[in-house]
Amino acid sequence: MRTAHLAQFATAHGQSLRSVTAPEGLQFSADEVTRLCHSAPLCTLRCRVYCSAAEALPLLRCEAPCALLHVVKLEAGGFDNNEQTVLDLAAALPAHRGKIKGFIVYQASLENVAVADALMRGVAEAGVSDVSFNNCLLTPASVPGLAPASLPGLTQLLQSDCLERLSIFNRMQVLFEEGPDLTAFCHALRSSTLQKLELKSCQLWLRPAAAGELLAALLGHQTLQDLTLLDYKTDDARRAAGEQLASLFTHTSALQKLDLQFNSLGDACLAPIFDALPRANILKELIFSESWSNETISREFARDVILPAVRANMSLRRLSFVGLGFFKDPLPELLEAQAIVAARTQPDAGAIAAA
Amino acid sequence: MLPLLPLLLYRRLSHTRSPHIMSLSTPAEQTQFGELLVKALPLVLECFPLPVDARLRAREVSRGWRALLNQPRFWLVLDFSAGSGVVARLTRALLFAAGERGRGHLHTLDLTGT
Repeated sequence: MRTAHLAQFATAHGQSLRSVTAPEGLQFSADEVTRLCHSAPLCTLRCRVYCSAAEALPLLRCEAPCALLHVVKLEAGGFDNNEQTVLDLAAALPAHRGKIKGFIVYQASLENVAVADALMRGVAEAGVSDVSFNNCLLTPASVPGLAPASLPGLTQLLQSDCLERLSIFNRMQVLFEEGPDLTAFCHALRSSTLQKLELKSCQLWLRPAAAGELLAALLGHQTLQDLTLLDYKTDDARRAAGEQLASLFTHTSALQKLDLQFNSLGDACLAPIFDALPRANILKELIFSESWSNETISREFARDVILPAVRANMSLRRLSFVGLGFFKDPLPELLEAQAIVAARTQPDAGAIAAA
Repeated sequence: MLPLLPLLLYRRLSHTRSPHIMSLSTPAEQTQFGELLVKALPLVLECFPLPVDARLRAREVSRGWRALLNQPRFWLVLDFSAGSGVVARLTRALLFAAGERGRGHLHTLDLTGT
């Protein structure tokens, strides 16, 4: 099924149609939405839209012929460093007639605190539950010693109580620094109802104290099921980072998925994680990347630590060392560990034969 | 059980020599029973609609089914959502075939399950 098919269908049946709900996997451009609404003028169209911020404005404002449009998920880019476009979009979001569930922003200029705050406020007022900031540079470019300005806005967003999923890809800029803003953010995070948190390329490990405060806020979180920390370099703080990550297993009641790709964790950081693994009885997915790490996993560590821990754990259903064998021969112990976990989701051959 | 009723009826009536009908004593009783089913079936189908793909297949069973399912009232809503019971993969041909049945009357299209 493609958008063109749905457009043809709307052209054929537009006069009688009153409600069309498009598949979630189908993205419509602004032009396609406008044409579809034109073909079926009395029809409420619910769909996912991918367009530039300028194109999104009339759609969000439900201007003719899209008076009955309901944008379920909006992916907006093309801000061209224009802060006014961000402000216009922020104002249009809560004005939309339908509930926007997902909002993904690409490369918006959010260095300006007022602009970032306005966007966060707009997102919160619209009650969006799934928010993603991609390449938005949620940190002022060079303000050494000052707390990153985006955090108050993010705190406000967390406090809105509607947020379930938050994803940030921050173009290798530091997002978290110690200070009152981070403390407020962590407080909001602790009491939030977030189910999924993705922090990618936020230079988390460059500020070990801030990373510690952030991870401490996740300990015992009641709703967080899926945590992705995609970053580079842990350097001196490896052991400490590993201990903090390991404590998430044992102290967080809902965490089912932990994605630690591209973190260059190494044996020192992985040791506390795999020490704690046998006590993790809710965790179902654990993902690392092997080939990218500068200090790869040693054979002894895989044999003496990883394999026994994986055997002792009963909850895991997916263990993945992404890129294993890509640059060099894969360690058989790591392959075996993956196979042990994979076997738990395979149908039992004996049971099938008996049936 | 109730939502399965149209499916059971569909299977039952798809066989011309239904044992229930044949067990009735006289031809008059058989006719009355048949008429009753013909009257009741549209109501049952309206209350518990068959999935879209089953509705399209049911049209091929007999002329009676085709005549019944040619009525636009059975094609006001095309529901392909996750709980709709549609098992066939949604293709352009399936969508347009179903749409053609409800031409001029089609009201709702739900594709969330595809």
